[in-house]
Amino acid sequence: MNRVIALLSVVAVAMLWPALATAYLQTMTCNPSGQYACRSGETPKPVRWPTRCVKYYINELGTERIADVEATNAAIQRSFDTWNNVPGAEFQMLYAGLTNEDRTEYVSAREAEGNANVLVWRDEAWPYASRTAFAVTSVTFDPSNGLIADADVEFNSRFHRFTTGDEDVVVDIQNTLTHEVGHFFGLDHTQIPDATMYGSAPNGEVAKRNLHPDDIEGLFAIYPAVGISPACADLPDYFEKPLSDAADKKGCCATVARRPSTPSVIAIALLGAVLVRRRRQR
Amino acid sequence: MKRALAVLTLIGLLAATTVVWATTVVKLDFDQLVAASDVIIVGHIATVKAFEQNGRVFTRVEVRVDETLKGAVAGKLEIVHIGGRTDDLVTRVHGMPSFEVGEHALLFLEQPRSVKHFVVTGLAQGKIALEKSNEGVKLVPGTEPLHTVPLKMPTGDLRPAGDGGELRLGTPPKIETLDDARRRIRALLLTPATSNE
Repeated sequence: MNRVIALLSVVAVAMLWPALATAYLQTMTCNPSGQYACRSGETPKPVRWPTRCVKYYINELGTERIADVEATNAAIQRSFDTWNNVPGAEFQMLYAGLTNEDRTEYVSAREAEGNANVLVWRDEAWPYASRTAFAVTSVTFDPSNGLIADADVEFNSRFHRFTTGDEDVVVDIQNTLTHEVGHFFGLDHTQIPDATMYGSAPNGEVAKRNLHPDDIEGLFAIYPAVGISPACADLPDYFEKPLSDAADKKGCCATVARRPSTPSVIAIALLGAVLVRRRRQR
Repeated sequence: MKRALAVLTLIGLLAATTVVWATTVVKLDFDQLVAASDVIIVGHIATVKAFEQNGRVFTRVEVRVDETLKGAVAGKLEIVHIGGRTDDLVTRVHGMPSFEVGEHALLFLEQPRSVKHFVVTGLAQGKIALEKSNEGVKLVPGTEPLHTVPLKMPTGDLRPAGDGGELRLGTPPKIETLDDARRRIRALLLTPATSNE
């Protein structure tokens, strides 16, 4: 029996350790290694918007491959609203209307026309990522402070068939975009399989249209509820204000990037039970 | 004892659900990577340069081609992908492959229409680092987390128009070394593609 208890303890600890790294993660300005490796003397900072309200625009052309433009745009808005409607959320992504702008680019603060966050369908050209990608969300930020300047989403309708309904689902727009919106405001992938920000989904899945508690914790970690009004009315009507340090003071910061996951809680409970039992046996 | 075994089984099941996965892309196994790629090479990363284009950062990677396993390329080729870092700007696209100068890699590549550069098939899935060992040159699985979706449509749909169908050849063997990869790719390419039409 002692051997079984010892084995249980080892397994519980082994489960607990990786679980500490398996919950929501924030996108950081740099990583320990790879393409985004931290430079000498640099510390990783969480990536986030400088303001509590951000506007986004949908390219008016939509995609020729889905006849119902209204249903497509509604699915896009629902994806953002899933995050906007989290009770107590003090960060909002506001649909600002259709635009004829199809450039997914960041115009720097030096230029007069400002910047817009745009969602665009790419029916023809798809030159900078694999055909196998459904969508690409590009988040452009200042590496010195992590403040996001621009985020755009491009849908690969050149190579994939997207759907909006509950039947004959191929690539569900809302399921895909709710995940991409998480990247849009600063979340990285989680290792909680049921979470929207999990790195994998079966084809035809719609379950991740809805958020998991882990996703919500991630949202609040980046934009804590501290009584800040999202103040969407203050934003300019068409283009976003460029990046500024002053805007940073409106927002708040987040330092928590990890928390124990559900399996780790189970592991802790299990380990506790084993220890109590051992004491009793003595 | 029975209870202890039941708890162990439960732990095993929970552990099994925490599979490491991780931007939204079709999940490709080795055979699907081969089928979906226009070019497959073994090469060394010669240069990695980030550059700004219309305010976003892209990365240009120059690769010295050591061996071509699929397609017709020789000498050097260039990969360009969205995402990267300059001194004062980062564009982050989750799931893109990461390159370092001097790296030795097996690369599955696509050539988009109307451009001269290549992109990596399946985002980070199509770049497999190589490492010398006593058993030969080993394949080192990537660590870049990806948001993947298992492939439902035939791989042929992802290939350039008129490029045949999905390549399949029995049960895929374990591919752990560069030699395993070479054998498998050659076997797959000798198999006539079946049409999806």
